[in-house]
Amino acid sequence: MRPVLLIAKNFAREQRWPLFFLLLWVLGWATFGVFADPHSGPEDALMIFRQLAVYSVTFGVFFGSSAIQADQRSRRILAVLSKGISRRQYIFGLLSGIALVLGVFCLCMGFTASWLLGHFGFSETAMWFGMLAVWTACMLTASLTLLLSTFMPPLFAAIGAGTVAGIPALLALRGDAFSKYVIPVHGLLEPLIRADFNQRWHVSHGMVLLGWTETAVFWLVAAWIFSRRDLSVAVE
Amino acid sequence: MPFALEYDAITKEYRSWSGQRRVRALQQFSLSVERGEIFGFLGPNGAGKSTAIHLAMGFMRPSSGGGRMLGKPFGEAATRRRVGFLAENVALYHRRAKAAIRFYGGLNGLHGAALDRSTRSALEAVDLQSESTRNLGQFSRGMLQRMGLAQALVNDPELLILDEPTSALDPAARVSIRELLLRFRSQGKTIFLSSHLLSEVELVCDRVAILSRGRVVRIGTLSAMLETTDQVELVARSISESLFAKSTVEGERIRFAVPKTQQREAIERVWTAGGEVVSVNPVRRSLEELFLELTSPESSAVELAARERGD
Repeated sequence: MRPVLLIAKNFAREQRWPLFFLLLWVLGWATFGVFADPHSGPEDALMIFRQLAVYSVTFGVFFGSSAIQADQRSRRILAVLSKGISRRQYIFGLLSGIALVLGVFCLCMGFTASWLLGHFGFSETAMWFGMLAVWTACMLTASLTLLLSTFMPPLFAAIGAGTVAGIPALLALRGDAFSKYVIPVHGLLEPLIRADFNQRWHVSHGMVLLGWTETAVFWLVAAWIFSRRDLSVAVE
Repeated sequence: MPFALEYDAITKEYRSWSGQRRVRALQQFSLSVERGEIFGFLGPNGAGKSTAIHLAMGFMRPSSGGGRMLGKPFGEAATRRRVGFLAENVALYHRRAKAAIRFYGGLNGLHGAALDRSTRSALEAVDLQSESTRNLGQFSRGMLQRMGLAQALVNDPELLILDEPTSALDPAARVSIRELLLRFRSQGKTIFLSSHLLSEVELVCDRVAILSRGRVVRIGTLSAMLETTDQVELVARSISESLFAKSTVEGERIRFAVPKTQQREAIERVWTAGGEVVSVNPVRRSLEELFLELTSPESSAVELAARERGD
């Protein structure tokens, strides 16, 4: 477990600047809340929150698609995989690192939402479980993208993940009840998109559990594929 | 006791996405490295050296055949804990030197006081202890190369696999790395050394394999490989240099080579001319001469390899 944690910590360290800029975005949102117009401000603040939540899923795609590729392109992966760790542990370490980075982002977003939207009267009771749902959606897309990036270039992996997660979402929007359980990114974010100052943000526990289960499945499949692939590194 | 490293009829083929273009990097490649030796692995660019090393480390899988490292099949994580590896063009995460070595040591399962001790000794071994708080991003290429070696040494490996370990180093650093390798051998460790620096290989290696187009074209001890069987070199004094063709004068001494079959006759000619034979030795080629001879496109060994590969 220790090597997994080391890889996770190292990934988070390598992504400290992207994370810093993401947190600046949250800070900008908080600053907006302080100076917002009391009449239109609450609605605007909620809209920015929804945007941030949806974008955080995009960050999951970004981190997931580039994690392996960045190590391969820089050849740093050779020194890592020459040690006593398996490919499965390496993939789990990267995924844990992504979880750490996106977890910090969601946590900061949650604190800001709790203070800012709570201040405007948004129901705080379901806030933190809702943030767990957002984090779950991020991890689900990140693991799916990571899986695709084991055999695709990063751009194709990102497009592929968008397509694979987007089709069930589109079908669910058209009324197909089963589709929202296939890759439940939409199912996890929909309650937030629908929530307002009068309607509580309510996420189903089952949907969160399903999200984490699918994340674990994608990790296992990613590890299985990555263990069977030749490591191609750039020749200088 | 099993070999430290063993390749058994490995073939590795690279294929393009469509499967139409195929490159065979190794073909029926067999090699055994004994424990406690420094083994030189030589070959021109594209001969398949890095492929062979990456197969042993489990970075890729053979198309056919197999191999064992420290008695276990290639690719086992637990075996890699007992191995140190330095890749060609070393690339490490940019963090402080000490933290970087701790990170790589941690990946090998080291922790606590043992990790502290190993980190310190690895940095000392490559003479970088005074730079332990500097970030690797500020290191020169030679320093990075030494850091690469330090991360390979952090787990006190039984087998050290080094791909061009001295390519970016200055002469003084090369000498210290050479001494380090010899010290390792005296501790009973095995070193598998891939290098283009033939003089380095000649100085430290017990056995050498020369690879060309994915096949081993020559393997053996250096002394046996460099010795020619058909020529001897004689040094004599008090004779005229015109007595033997292609002789060279070194002060009072005359140096010349003759076929081994004519050795006795040459000695008698020196004595008859009133001279004295100082030494008789088999002619030794340099490793460079042998390398060029075996890996040139005209070489019969290379031709054979190419024919068997279907080039």
